Formats: sequence, C-alpha cells, structure tokens
Amino acid sequence: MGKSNENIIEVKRLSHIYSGTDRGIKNISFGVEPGEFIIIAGKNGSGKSTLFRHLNGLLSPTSGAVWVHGKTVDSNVEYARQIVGMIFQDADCQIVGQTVFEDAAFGPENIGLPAIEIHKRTTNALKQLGLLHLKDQNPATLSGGEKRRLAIAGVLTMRPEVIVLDEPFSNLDYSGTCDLLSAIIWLHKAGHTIILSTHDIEKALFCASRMIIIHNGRVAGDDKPQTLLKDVEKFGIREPCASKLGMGIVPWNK
Amino acid sequence: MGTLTPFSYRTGNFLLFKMDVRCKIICICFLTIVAVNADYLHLCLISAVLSWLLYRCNFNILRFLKEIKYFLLLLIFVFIVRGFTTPGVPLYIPIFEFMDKFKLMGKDIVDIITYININILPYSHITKEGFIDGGKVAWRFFIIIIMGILFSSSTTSSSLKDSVMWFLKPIPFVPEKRAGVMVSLFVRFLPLILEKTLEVSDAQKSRCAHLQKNPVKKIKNLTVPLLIKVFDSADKLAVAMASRCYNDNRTEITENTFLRSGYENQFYAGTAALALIILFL
Repeated sequence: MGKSNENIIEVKRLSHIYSGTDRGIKNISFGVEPGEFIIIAGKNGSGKSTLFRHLNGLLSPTSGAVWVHGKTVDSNVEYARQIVGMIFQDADCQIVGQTVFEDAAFGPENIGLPAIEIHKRTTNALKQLGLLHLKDQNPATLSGGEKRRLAIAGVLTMRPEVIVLDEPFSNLDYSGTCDLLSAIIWLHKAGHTIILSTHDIEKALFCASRMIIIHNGRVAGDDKPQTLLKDVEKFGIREPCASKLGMGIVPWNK
Repeated sequence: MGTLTPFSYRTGNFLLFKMDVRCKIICICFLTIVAVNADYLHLCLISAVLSWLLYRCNFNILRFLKEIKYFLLLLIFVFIVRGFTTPGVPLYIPIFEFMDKFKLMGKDIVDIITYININILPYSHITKEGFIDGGKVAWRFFIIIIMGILFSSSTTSSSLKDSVMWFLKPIPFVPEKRAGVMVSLFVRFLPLILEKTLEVSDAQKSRCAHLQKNPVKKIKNLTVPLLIKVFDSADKLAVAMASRCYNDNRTEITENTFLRSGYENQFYAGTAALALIILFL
C-alpha cells in the first residue's frame, strides 16, 4: 500500500519471538502513509501490542526492521519516539507526574526543550483535550476517560506525526469512550496519522481508512475496512452489528 | 475515578502546600531528631501541632486513622514487644496484692509470682517500664509517620526531585539528577503500593480470605500477588517513561519548583521554638 518513499513508517519482514515460546509476531510488512487512520485488529494475544512496541523502539526485533522517515528505529530510538507517540492500554501505569500539568510536561522535559516552550506546549495540549481546569489535580483523581485524554496530552506535547493507541477503549464507559473517540477524530483531522489497535472494531471503524488484521502474529489482511469486514469473524473479531444488518459502516457514537 | 491514599499528593491552599520544599525537608529532619528524644509531655505538644496541620490540610482525622490502620497495627505490635521485653516490675502484680496474706511453703505468694515472672519465665509479662517505654516508642513512630504523610501529601514529586538535586549538588561524584528521579519515583510508588494492597486485600476478602486462621498463609496470600502487581506496574511505568524519551539530561522547569510562600522564616522560627521547648522543658 503506497509508495515506500512516501511512508512515515515502513515495517519490513518484522519478527519478534519471545524466548522459550513460539509466540510473538512473524514476518510482518506494511507501510504507513501520512494522514492515514489505520485499525490494527486482532483477538487478544494476536501480537498487536508487540508490533506497537517495535514502532518506537521499545522492543528490538528478532529479525527484520522498522524505518521511520527512512531511519531505522533500532539505531535512532530517540528520533522514532518523537515521531511516533505511543498511548498504552493501562492509563494508570503511564502516569509519571503527581499533577496533570507535570505529567503532560514529562515528554518535552525529556527532549530538552526550553522551559517556556514546555509551558506553552503543555498548556495548549491540556486546553485542546479539555483538561486545563484540572492541571493542578492529582491524576489519580481523574476518571478513566480523563486519564486516557491526559495520556494523549502527554504525547501531543512532543508534537508527534503518528499517534499509536493500544486498545484505547478498554475499561471505559460509554461517555468516556465517546469523549475519547471524539478526541481521536479531532487528532486525525488536525493532521496526525493514527494507528489504533482493538479487538472491538465497531467503535473506530467509521473513521478508519485502512484495516490490518493480525492473526497468530502474522498479517492476515490489509485493505480498506469495507473490503475486510465480512471476513473478520474468521479471525476472532466480532463483525459490527450494523454490518451484520446490512447497514454497512456507521458511526458508533451517533 | 481513583481514591487518594494518605500518601497521595493533594492540592490545597494552606501554607504547607505553598512552602519552599527545602524548608519543609529541613524542618522535618529537625523535628524528627527532636521527636525521637521527646518525652510524653513533649509528644503531646508535637501531636497537638501535627493535629492542627492535619486539620488545616483537610484530613478528616477519624477517616485518616482508619486509612492508616495497618501502621497502627504495626505500632501496637511494637508497643507489645517493647512491653514484654523491657525488664522491670510486672504490671499485673497489683492484681495479686489481695493474695498478700497467703503463703506457700513459708513464702508470700506475690513474691513467688514475681520470682517466677522475672527469673523463670522472662518475657511472659508486660512490665510497668515496658508499658511506659513501649507507649513512648510507638508514639514517636506515629509522629514520624504523620510528618511523612503531611510532607508527601503536600509536595509534588517534581519539587521533591528538584530539592534532592539541590541538596546533593555540592557533593562530588553523586549523580544528583538520577538520585532526584529515583526519590521522586519512590514517593510516587508509595500510594500505588497502598492502592494495590487494598485492591488485593479486597479481592481476597471477597473470597472469604478473612476466615483464614493461619497468619503466615495470610501474609503469603497478600504479599505474593501484591509484589507481582507492584513489579508489573513498575515495569509498565519504565516502558511508558522510555516511550516518552526519558533520559538524565532533561529540562528542569525550576521556575515553579522553589516558589516561596513568604512564611519560611516564621516556619524555621516555629520549629526552632518547638525544639527549644522540648529540649529545655
């Protein structure tokens, strides 16, 4: 999909096998163009999180490689982490600061930006995600949806081109999911490339321009969502109700 | 929404939240040294001051005591051990005083009981000295815990980190930045450990773990999953920090860290006055 020289991320024959098992990801290849909204779908344990950890150098591949703007992630980890921002499944465990502001400022502090710039970026990111009024609060007191938005704010302050979200909707109630979905749609409209993993594709399918199915650590499908939709149940992913009823792909939160 | 443990940082408008963190550290060190040498009257005085601070920091005292019940249990344990192991007059001898008319083999019963307690079965009784000493030690520990809680609940990890760096900077060959981050992460993990303890404990209670009579099994059942959870959380945190480019050469936003409330000198004076009263009263 797409010409390789236009891709932000290029994954080539990437394999990662966990020692002592045959589990992991095997021979995965795909490219990510600017502005895409990709859903990485697969059942639990299919290898989605392992794949994501390679996109910004949190894991080193057993074989193959990941390139970000033509530079290999393995030898340019810091660069890759600034271009590819990652939001983890467990929001509680990625909170570092004791106030919302401190936590959002953690990334830009690490990349050595001047204090004024950090303040400006953090304030903007918190404002954009509707968290500025909570800036002095302890993150532990936030709701699940607010914690996810704080995680996004923490990544936004580093101005990444690509935002990777690992199972962002897990453990969220309806309103939290709606808020988060709106924030993700807004990020995409603002020009960020989105890669989102989920086993429940219904919520984000309407916004996606492409879907990659991972099954047993391998790419089992890579195409437009409407093309793959009827086959997803073969891979342990539930087909959305609307699609089953012949209504095609409809927005989840409308 | 998560709940705040007593160690969690909370926002507030009281003086303690706005004070220069270096002043807080110096005063706490000073008061701790004084507290470990304090007697009952002095402990009453320090407790009164700390109760006022807790009240002004919006701690509900009864709820607060309930939240630190495990520390209180530990202090009761310290008190009991001290009571049994300090040599002295058994505390319950007066109970046997009505027996002073009775004699056994020509000797007073009370003398025989005292002899058995002191020479044959040491550590089988609480002594009067142990009671007084144990109470004092437990109270001192309690005061130190309260000071720690007041400090951690009114200090952000970044200002703590910056103050650790400030104190360590003049010392050669000490990586002050790394030490600062380590201390701030440790403080961040205290509420997390408490939170996970409550989670594991509640999950076990829901499966009738409270009916388990064997204390060793009880402790094992609690600590094994707790340690797994804490290490797992630490691992996830490390990965999340790495994904946000954590390194030693970070920008330090220092302009907010050492904000002074303007009352630091009064606080130093108050601490010194309290120390002098305790030392010379």
